Amino acid sequence: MANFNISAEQRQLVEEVRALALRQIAPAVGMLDEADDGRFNDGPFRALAEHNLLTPTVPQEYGGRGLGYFSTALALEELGAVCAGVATVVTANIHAASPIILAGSAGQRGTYLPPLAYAEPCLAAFALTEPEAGSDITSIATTTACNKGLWTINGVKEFVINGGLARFTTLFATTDKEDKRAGLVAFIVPYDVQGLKVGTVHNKMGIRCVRTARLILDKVIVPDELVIGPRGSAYLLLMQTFDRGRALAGAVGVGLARAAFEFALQYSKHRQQFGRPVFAQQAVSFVLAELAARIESARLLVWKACWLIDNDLDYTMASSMAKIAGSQVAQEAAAAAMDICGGRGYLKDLPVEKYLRDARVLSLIEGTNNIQKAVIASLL
Amino acid sequence: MGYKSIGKQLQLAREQAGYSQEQLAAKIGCSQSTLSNYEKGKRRVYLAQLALIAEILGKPIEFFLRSADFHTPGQHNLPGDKLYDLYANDLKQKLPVFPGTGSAGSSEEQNLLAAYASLSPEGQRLVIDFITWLKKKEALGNG
Ligand SMILES: Cc1cc2nc3c(=O)[nH]c(=O)nc-3n(C[C@H](O)[C@H](O)[C@H](O)COP(=O)(O)OP(=O)(O)OC[C@H]3O[C@@H](n4cnc5c(N)ncnc54)[C@H](O)[C@@H]3O)c2cc1C
Repeated sequence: MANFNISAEQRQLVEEVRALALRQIAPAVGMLDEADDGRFNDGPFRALAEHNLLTPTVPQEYGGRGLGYFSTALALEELGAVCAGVATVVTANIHAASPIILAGSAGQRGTYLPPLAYAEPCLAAFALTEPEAGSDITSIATTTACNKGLWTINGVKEFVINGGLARFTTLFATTDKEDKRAGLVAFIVPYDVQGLKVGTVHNKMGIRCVRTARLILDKVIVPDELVIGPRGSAYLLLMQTFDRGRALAGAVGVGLARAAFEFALQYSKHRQQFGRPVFAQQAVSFVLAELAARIESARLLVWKACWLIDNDLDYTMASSMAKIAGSQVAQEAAAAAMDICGGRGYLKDLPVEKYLRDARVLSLIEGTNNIQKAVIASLL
Repeated sequence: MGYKSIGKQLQLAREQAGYSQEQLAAKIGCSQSTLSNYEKGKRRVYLAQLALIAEILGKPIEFFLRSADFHTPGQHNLPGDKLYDLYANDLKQKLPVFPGTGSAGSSEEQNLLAAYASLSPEGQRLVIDFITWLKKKEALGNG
């Protein structure tokens, strides 16, 4: 692990994603942010799909790029630096695919993974949260029962990224609310199944280009073939998906923090007050110096967690730490950038206020930062 | 976060199967301290590893995810280990009818009991575990 060199291939990937993000996503960011959450603009996702980067973890045998988590984190940092919302959609796709990659049958992999690698954008969703079940995932009330190989699912899922746009949703339900962990079942729910309805599309403070919706499952019936993993394994599958995805949420935070930091640094070097750049004031340059150190440490935590994932080592704690560090530094950098840019930072003319709005969500999704602390504490 | 309970079940299953931590760790290709941490809930066991452990210990994955005091619908007042005792005693009561006094059961049942009696204590334990699991599964009615 004590090797901080990224390979030539990874460097090339970073350059590819950076160029793509700057040329094809950055010009649309303002428009995407202004758009009403209900109107979905798939422009950035087209660009990503053309580069097979919408779900970069899909294995090569299914047409994907087969990127490991380390490389994926490098790509997500670049995307996060241009638009945290776009990067979040990629993490949602990765999240939805993860249980299938980890434990899906050959049929499930062969059917549901290849479209995620098509040049036409294909979105996927991950539905766990419910109106009454957020942090406490074992309290979910979406029920399921099997009769002659057919599973009926009833319930409501909340805050589903790509809800109503996804070709399939990876969804969790319970056979018995009392049987908290063993009762969980993981499903692939295709978009066109009867009884699947899209409810409220949420109007959000940040990551506004991300469609986030309520899903209603009214007597949805799926065959046994769409149950993911061996019987009784859904809880572990869910936890493992989170343990992996959290490191990537950290990478998005690092990207956003880097963008806010770089913007504030440039601004502070150009903005003259009292006859010199505001950067010349230690009160400003020390904030930036401290941010530079924090961003680097968050990045290293993300890299370590992803390296552990790629090497199939114990990654749970590192991933939670990476998520806390990445999401916190994103918020700190965005807030500091706003201070350094003064009154202008508060205006929509500069990207800083968007950074702040986007950063705020990172400590809530993929399990709140309190939940990350609970995970870490449970392992101490 | 649930992993303490998973660890306890893992330890129970390992002990029921008569393995030491060293022996099971060697079988699943990890260190004894890793297995010890799984059992204490200080390290998360991932699905592939637990699936392997379940196979070696002859338990369904659900066994590890249910806490010992989980009640199945048909057995509301029986904690998991009591349920185990119930089936074990039930089977043991049947054993004296063997060999072939003709006092109880079909010949198929007697053959089954004969096969059961011929197993090592560890093997008998696995049979009881399997029946316990099947009973729970049927009680849940989810096929
Ligand atoms: C924009 C957005 C997108 C999302 N996308 C998805 C998605 O695609 N799929 C999906 O399934 N979900 C998604 N979520 C849901 C998200 O994962 C949940 O919001 C999150 O897990 C928290 O749940 P909650 O909102 O119900 O908060 P609650 O669980 O009600 O928590 C409220 C507060 O209590 C604290 N708290 C709760 N329990 C504990 C505890 N044990 N210890 C310490 N503190 C605790 C929390 O940290 C939080 O501060 C999304 C959410 C948002 C905002």
